[in-house]
Amino acid sequence: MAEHVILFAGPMCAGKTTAIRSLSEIETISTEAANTDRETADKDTTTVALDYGEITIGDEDKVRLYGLPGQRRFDFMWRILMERAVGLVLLVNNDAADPLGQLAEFLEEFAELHERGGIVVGITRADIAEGPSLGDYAQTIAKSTSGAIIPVFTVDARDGNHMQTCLLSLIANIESRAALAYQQEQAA
Amino acid sequence: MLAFVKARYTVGLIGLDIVDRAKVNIILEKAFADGEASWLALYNDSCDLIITSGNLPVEAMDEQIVARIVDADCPDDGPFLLRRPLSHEAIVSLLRNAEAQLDSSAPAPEYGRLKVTGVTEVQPGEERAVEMAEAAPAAAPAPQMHPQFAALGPSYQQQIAAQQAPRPYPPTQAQRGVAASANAGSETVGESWADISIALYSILQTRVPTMARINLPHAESILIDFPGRRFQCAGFPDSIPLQPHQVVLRATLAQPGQGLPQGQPLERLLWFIGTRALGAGLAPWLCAEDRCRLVQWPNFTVLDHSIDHMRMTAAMGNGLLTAEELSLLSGVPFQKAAGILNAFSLMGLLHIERQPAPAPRVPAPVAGTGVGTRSSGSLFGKLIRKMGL
Repeated sequence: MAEHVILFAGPMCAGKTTAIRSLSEIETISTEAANTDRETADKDTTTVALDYGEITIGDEDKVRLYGLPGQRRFDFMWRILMERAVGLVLLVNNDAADPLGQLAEFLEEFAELHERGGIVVGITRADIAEGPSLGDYAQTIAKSTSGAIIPVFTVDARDGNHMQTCLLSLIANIESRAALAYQQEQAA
Repeated sequence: MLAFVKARYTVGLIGLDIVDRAKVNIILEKAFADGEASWLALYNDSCDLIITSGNLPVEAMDEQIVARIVDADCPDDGPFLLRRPLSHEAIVSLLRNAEAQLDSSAPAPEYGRLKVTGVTEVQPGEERAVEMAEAAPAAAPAPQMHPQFAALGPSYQQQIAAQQAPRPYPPTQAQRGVAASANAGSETVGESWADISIALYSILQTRVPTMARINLPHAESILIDFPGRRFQCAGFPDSIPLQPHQVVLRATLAQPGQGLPQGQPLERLLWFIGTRALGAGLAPWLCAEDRCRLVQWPNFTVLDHSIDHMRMTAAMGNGLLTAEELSLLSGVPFQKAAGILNAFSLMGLLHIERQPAPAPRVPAPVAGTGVGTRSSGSLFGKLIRKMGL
């Protein structure tokens, strides 16, 4: 069975656990613990290891959805899972103190995954708080990736349709880039 | 009483510095108001006449005329040269020369049945904008290209470089004041969405802070707040006729505090007009030979989109394509490919190349490598079947 690993990353409170729940066919596996970092995120619990969900497609394919803990002290796990991943759903909370800075940081951290796979950016809580516009996020992405076109959407992590749009856009973009690389190889 | 005046030709102001552009705009406006010349000013290079600066390279089609603004001591000469300081007489003379050449070489281009009426005169304060413009900051240096993209070949580099090029109209206060004269306070009457879309496109290109109302017979009016990027229309989109027999757009300069307090994202309306209301072909400002590339994905979570739209968008984000190439590559009818290009161009999401076409850098539809269709073995294809989309 072919496995396709999709990561969900982003700062605390961005909605990674919820997004995986919206997409997964199975009961998601979460490793949450009491949140001791109330200054960064005012919520009771936070992911400390990872969240896991999956989508099975017939007997041939399984899409594994891994949610990474948002705190930097867990970044060793980011690197372990990044090696197996084909794509990343990067969620950023629009009412965070510096969402553009956080986006740039995560893009830098996952640059290698962007180069060999793909990234889609979901902006959560855009309907709740005034924050940067989608154009601002797109500009930050362009600066961080030397002009690459990465899909960026406003999303509600609780909305299955929104998260499907994110996932499908990610896969469509990855396959389109792969086709381009294939053609260039053939032409060379 | 306002007379109906038909704009016979279009003039595109490309690569001009802020002062020249402001002066040309004011003179064009006055010439239009005085009935000396009936040209529709746009801000792209697909116009009949392109006015550009000095030695700036401009790739024009055979039927297009390129006029250049040069310093007073420039030794060059010709009917399509404008010397600084720019004068009303020189620009009107240039327009007449251009009209004569266009009349003699080809039939005038058709822009549907567009009529532009009641264009406002330049207000006293707008000349002041020219002086203010002289203090505008210089453009920032271009960012460096990532080595990964530098290795992908000249065509790809060209695409990336084009995306990094500064936007032609940084929305400074001075520019807004001058550009406003081109659109605000005008009324455009059309007999189809294609007619009215030219006016919409012009407003969006100039980024003038404009409020607009679109009136349709037997349908709800559409109020548009361009600076706030939102619109209001009861019952949208079901209440909007796709083939109205008359569309009237009334645009006014936005006043402070006049913006719509709430409404739907403007992208929804532009997407609707582009993909559904413009008919079977390309929008009037797009040519079949234009190669287009996406500069930013649309916000699909607020748009009524299909899987085909998503696949075409992925292709547009990774290749420089004509409408026909997009249609072939994505396996969708030409009408649908044209529709998404129309929408993206209205939404300001396209980079368009009108130069002699470079070899297309497009993903070949090779089995097992292309973006999946429903029947393909790609993960995309499997997922959309799995999700019942």
